[in-house]
Amino acid sequence: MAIKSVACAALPLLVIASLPTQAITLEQLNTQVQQMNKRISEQNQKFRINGFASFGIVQSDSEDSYHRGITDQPNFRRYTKAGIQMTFNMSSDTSVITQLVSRGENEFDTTAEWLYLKHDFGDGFTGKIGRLRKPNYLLSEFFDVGYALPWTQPPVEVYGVLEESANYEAVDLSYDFEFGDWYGSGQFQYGRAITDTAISNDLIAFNGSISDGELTLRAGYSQAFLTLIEGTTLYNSLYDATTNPAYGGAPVPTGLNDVLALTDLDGETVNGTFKGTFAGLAAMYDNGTILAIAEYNTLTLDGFFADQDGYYVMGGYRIGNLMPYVTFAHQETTDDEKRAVSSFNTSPTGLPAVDTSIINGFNAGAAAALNVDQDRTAIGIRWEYQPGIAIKVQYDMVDTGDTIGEFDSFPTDGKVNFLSFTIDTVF
Amino acid sequence: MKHLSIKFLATLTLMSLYAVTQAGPVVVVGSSSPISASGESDVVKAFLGKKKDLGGVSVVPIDQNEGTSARNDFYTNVVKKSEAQLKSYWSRLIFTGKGQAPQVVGGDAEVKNMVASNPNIIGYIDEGAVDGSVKIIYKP
Repeated sequence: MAIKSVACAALPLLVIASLPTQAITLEQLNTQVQQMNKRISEQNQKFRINGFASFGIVQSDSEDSYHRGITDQPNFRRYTKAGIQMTFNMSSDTSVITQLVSRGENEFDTTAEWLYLKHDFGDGFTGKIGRLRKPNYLLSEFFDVGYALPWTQPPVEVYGVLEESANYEAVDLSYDFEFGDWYGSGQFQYGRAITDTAISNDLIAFNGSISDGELTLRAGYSQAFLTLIEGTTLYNSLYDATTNPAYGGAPVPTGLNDVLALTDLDGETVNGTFKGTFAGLAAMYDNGTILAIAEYNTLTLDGFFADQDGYYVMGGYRIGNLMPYVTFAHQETTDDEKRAVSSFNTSPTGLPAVDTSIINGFNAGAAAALNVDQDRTAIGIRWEYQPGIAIKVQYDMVDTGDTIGEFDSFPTDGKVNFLSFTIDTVF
Repeated sequence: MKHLSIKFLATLTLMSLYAVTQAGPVVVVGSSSPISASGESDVVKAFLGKKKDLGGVSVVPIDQNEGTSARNDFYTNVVKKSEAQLKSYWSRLIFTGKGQAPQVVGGDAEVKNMVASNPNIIGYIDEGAVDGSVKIIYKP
């Protein structure tokens, strides 16, 4: 009875509450919903936010710090990073894209990795201007997105160049085309890269790739002219190395770029500017079950700087949500002998004569710091915990022989094994 | 003879029941959309962002929520990619600035609403949900 009276009392309220909506028919409501949907979808087409994040732990069996801070203490920072990408479509053919990334190893400082304006010219041509990713590799553009990669970390033997400086300011012209079941793409970039230690002027890069959805083939080439920035840690330490009495050195009356020019090899060095070239080949096969990737690149740098070749071959096999994989990688400097003491050209024309002992000392140090011969075998497993979240465990066995390899300083023993664990997400 | 026809009828009934319960996904546009019947490969390309138009009409694909039967059927049987593969595929395009995954709008009803509101939108719904507001452009 009490319930009934409450219900009766509530009835007029309900009637009042529903009064304003009585005037709207179901059809009108449907139209409103449709209009709202349309507005939401238009808004969504205009502005999109995507993100990625990796959370990792890595620990080795060696006290010697390897590859920027991997030691026998668990490192929670090294593989941890997050990025937010914002795409603002100004019109159907013009957009602004920004990617902000924070990396644990850089104290979680947030930097704009990408910041560019993109325009679609039609007929497959796209132009970009701004801060872009260097297009050296097959996986260059999503090298930070752990989820899109099979490993906990891409093989440094090939991807090392990107780790040092992945982005630069440039213009980009790309052409995408289709022939039968194949998609092709050609890309050209021109720009200037400024890092903390060096400037790469007149950087040009071009590459082409084709893919049929399962097989992807790619070839690329780039070149630039490098100058070291005076006063940086790298500059000063190199300068100090040349004048270190331990190597029998003595102060040199010239600047470092002139000293480096002393390491003139076959006339490669001109006035402290060093030409660098980079060429790479890559193939990837992914049929949903089998994943195989092979990538090779060769880097040449004039003068004192080391030339380097690197490659890796990886294979993975998907069983349900699991993918065990194995990777072999190798990296070596290819001009060790050229840079060795015996082959030195003492003093190029136009520079003051310098004591050979300085050059010898400099080169002993340089050889120790620059010569690399590193092998890696890595086994791992990737678990698709759910779409958008992958969990990976990887064990790396690295042998740098009697070279520094990717150790942070010359190691007591050139062998290091390390275990890494990451949770990679995209959202 | 009588037995045979009963058996025949029973089989037919069973088959039609099967067809009802197994009504697969169909790709639809609004009933007034100029987009006409399309082949499987074009539809797949449109949903993977590799094709921006169908028969010269620009298209905007939309997705259903993860887990709906239409979505599962569509991606497993038509596009032939698992959710995880799809996520990888799109993350490689999104984070290279080359494309965006279709917007996720809900289920059959929301897709019908969206395609009916915009002639360029294409979506997939369960065949059983087809009504006068939409027109089928591809049926597996």
